[in-house]
Amino acid sequence: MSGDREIKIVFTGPMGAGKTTAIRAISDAPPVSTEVANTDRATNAKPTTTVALDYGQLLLEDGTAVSLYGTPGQERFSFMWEILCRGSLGVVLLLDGSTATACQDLQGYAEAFRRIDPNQPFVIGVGRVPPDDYRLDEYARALGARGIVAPVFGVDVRQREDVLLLIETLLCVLEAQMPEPDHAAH
Amino acid sequence: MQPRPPPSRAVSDPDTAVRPDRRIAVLKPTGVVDERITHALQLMESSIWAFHGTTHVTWRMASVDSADVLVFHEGDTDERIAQWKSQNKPVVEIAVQSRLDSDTPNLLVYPFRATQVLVLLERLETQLTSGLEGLVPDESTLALASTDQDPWTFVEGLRTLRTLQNSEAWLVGREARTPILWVRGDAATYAAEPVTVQAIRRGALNPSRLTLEKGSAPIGGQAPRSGMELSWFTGYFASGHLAPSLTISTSYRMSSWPNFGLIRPSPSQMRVVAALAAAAADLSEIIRRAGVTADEAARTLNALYACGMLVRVSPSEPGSAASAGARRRAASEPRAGLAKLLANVRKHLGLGARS
Repeated sequence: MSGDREIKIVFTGPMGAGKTTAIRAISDAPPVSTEVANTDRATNAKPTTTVALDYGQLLLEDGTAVSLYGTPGQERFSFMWEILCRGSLGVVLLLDGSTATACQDLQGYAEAFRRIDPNQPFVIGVGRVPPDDYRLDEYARALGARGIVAPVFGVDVRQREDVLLLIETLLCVLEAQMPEPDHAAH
Repeated sequence: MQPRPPPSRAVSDPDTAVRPDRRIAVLKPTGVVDERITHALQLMESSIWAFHGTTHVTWRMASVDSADVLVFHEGDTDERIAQWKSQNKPVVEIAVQSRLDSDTPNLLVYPFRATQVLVLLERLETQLTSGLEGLVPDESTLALASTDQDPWTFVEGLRTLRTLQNSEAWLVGREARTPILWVRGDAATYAAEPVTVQAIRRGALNPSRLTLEKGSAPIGGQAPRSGMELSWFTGYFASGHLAPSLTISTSYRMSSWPNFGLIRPSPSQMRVVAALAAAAADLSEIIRRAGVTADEAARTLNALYACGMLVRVSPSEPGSAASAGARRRAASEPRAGLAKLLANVRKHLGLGARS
C-alpha cells in the first residue's frame, strides 16, 4: 500500500443504524465523535446523533494506522459520503431493520455508493432484526434486482463478533479482487 | 381434457390415509432403438415404483387401454399416441436430448432425476383432477419424499418449492413418523425445534431420512426461520462432490450473497463466496483463487446451488462487472502491499480467514 495515502474503512447508513456503536466495538481507542443533541426526533428518537463524523483507529503492529470513519446519518450531510469514501478500502453500510424504510434505505445507499465508486467493496449489516429473519433474503434479492451483488447480513453491532464478521467479509472481498491470491504467503 | 374425478380419499396424513390409485402406461419401443431410450423408460418405470406410498395417489403400471397417463419416447410413432393427444389426455414424453419445446408440458429429458419424476407425477395428478392441461403444479398438493439412495432429493425438493412460490401451503417433515420439520410451500421459511435446527446446522440431521408431506402450519411456538438457512446447510452437508446438476468444467457466478449473519460461515466458505462474487469461475478456479480444498469448494458451491444463488455462465459471456473492477483495483494497488495490509488487519483483529 502507498505510504502517503490514508488507509480507511468507512461506516455509513441512516441515523440510528449503529455506526458509532460499530466503530466503538473495534476501535483501539474510544472513537472521537461529534455528537450533538438530536433535533430530528421525528426520524429517530435517540437523544444524540453524529453531525460531522465519527473517528476510530486500528494501529497495526507495523505502525500502519487504519482509520475508521462513520459518516453522519442525515441526508443533508450526504455530500460528506463521497469525501469520506473516496479512496477507502471499503464501505460498511449499516441499516436499522426495524424501520419501515429499511429496504428502501438499502437500495438508496447502495446506489449512491455505487455511483461514488462502482468497484469499491461494500458490505451491508442490517441491525435490530433477528439474524434468522427471512426478510433479510428479500433485501439481498432487492439489490440483485438492481444488478448489485453485495453481502447483506443480519448483525447486532453491539456485539464485537458481528462487527468483525462485517470486516472479515470486507477483507475477503478485497482479497478476492486481487488477481491471484498468494496463499502461500499466509 | 375433461376433468377426472378426484381421488376418492384426500390424503393429508401419510400415516393413516389410504392413497387412491392412478394408472400409468409406458409405451415400449417395438424395434431397435437408441440404448438411452431403453434406459430412460426403465428409469421412468423404476421411479414410479420407487415412489409408491410417497405421492398423493399411488401410481400403478397399466396397459394403454386402462391408463390415465401415457408415457412414450419422442421417436415413437405408435398411433395411440396421436389418439391420446387428440383427446387431450395427459402424456409424458421422454427425450434423450435437450430441446426448446414449449409445446410439450410433460417432457423429461434423459438422464433425468428421480425428483423430476416425483414432481411430474404430482403435476399429472393435479392435471387429471382439475382437467387443466399444462397446469403449473400447485405445491399445496405436492408431496416430496426422499430416498436413502439420493442425498440430493431433499435439496432438489426445496429448490422446486422455491420456484412454485406457494406461501399458503406447508410441508411437514417426519422422522420415524414424528413431525420434526415444517417447510412453507415456497421454501422461504421453515420451522423446527431448536434441537432440530442445531442438527441441521451441524449436518447431524440426514434429510434423506425425512419424508415431506403436505400438512398444516407448525402449531408450536417456533418462530419461522429463513429457508435459506435450511437450504444452505442441507446443500452444504449433502456431499463433498458437486451436486449432480453442477459440473466441474462449468463457470458459475453468484446472483446474491447468502446471509452470513445467519450462516456464520467458516473462513473457507467465506473465501469461496467472495471469490465467486469477484468473478465467475469453475471449480478448479475457485479452489485456486480461494485457496481451499476441493471438498470445501464443492460443498460451498453446493450450498449456494441449494439456495438458488448460483448462475451458470456461458463461455462467451464477458467477465462480470466485479471482475472488471478487480482488474482495475489490481492495477492501481500494489498487490503485495495490499495483501500484507489485509494480513496485518486480520492479525490485529484476531480474524482467522487467512491465518
